[in-house]
Amino acid sequence: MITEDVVIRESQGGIIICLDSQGSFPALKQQLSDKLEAFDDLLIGVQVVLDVGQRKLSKKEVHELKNLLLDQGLHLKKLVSRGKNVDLKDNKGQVEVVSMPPARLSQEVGTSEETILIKRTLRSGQRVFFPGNIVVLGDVNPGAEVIAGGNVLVMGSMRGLAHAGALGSEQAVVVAFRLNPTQLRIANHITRAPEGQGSAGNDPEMASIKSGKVIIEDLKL
Amino acid sequence: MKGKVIVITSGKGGVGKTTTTANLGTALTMLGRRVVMVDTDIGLRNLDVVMGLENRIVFDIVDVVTGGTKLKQALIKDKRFEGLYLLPAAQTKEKTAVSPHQMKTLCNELKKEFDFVLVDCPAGIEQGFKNAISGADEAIVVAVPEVSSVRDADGIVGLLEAAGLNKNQLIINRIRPRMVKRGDMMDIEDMIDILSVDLLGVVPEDEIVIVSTNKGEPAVMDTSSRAGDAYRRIARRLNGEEVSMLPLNHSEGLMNKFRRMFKMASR
Repeated sequence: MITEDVVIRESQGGIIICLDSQGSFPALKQQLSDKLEAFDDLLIGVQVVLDVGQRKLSKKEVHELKNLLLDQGLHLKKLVSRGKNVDLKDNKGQVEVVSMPPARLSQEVGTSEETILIKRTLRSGQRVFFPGNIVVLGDVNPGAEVIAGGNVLVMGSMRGLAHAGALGSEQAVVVAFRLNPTQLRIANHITRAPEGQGSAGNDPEMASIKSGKVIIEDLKL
Repeated sequence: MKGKVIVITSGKGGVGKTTTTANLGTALTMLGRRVVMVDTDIGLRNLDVVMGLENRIVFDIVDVVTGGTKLKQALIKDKRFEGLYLLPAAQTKEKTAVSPHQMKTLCNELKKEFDFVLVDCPAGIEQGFKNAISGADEAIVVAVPEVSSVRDADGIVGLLEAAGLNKNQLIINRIRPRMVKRGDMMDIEDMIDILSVDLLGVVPEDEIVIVSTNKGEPAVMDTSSRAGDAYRRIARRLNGEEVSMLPLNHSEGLMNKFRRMFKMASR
């Protein structure tokens, strides 16, 4: 099994990027860059907590990582190190560097998810990205995009593009009173409605991943 | 006296913004209101041609906002109707020749003199659109029953709302009653469902519009024109009257009913 060296997760008001300890620095940098580029401009302005684990980083390397994030429009808010391996000297307070023992890792990247409420209809050309859950009190029209790190819940018609678990979570779901999206994505699965007559179901439906496939079923609670 | 500034917009080109502006302007004047139509499509002006006033242009909107010309000098008085005026766009300049701030000042100035200021917006969502909506109090969104037009109209409503314009009304243009009856045209109900704005009126497809546009005489002047009739009704609604909608989509064809039953059964 191939382990991912770069893992991106959502957290309160931002994202956490965990870098694995193994591998050379240039390789790691390349992986991080590829991963971020896949998000296109979705993450612009998002605050980042960088968890470098046990890795030993020089001052120059910290600087390089910071610039790499900036190129993608991300702000490095905090750097978490699981040892005392990061060169803290002469940092000029630009990045908050925190050392914490490895034991607290699971707490830090815990499941605390924030939710935002959008109290209007999203129209063509409008796009919402949030690392946590998104609730839309209105419709999502064709040409609009809702992208969430967590779940997407639409209290109306979902006719546009929905992406739940955009940061990799396969547990995420898309729920809508009328689920009729142009395209539906969960984690890295992409689906669209079958050609021809779309299902004009009038009951709330939920899309989720079951055994590796996106399935849509009536919402039963 | 303080009038209303209404911007007529659509996002997509060729759906009938200019025709709608010309017809509503004329029809409102026929109801006894003082109206000025402002063409903001700098570089691609049309409204003067549709109104048949092209040969009277001396000064234009750019001359006015850049301070060289007095507003009263640039306004063109309509040759047929008392109380109808046109402020033409410049043909040899670009959209950036006017700023949203200048446009706002201009609209506030015109509002003092007229009951209705109808702003004909260019297609697209760039500077020209931003200029056109900057002085508006409310908006009329024109859409034809096609998916692409509805998509753009939806985007436009979103941008209008983002700009703080919340009174947006919809005109569905160029509908073909026979196609609607057959169920071959986009349903009016579906359009309103997606756009979720108030319906101001439905204008049927009418060849007279093409003829009248080429002649420079708005269709509302032709009493035999069905589109002209629809525009006259819309003008009365804008003037504050309660006017019933033309019975167009109420008679659901047998075929349609059948189809709907079939659809339900097949689910």
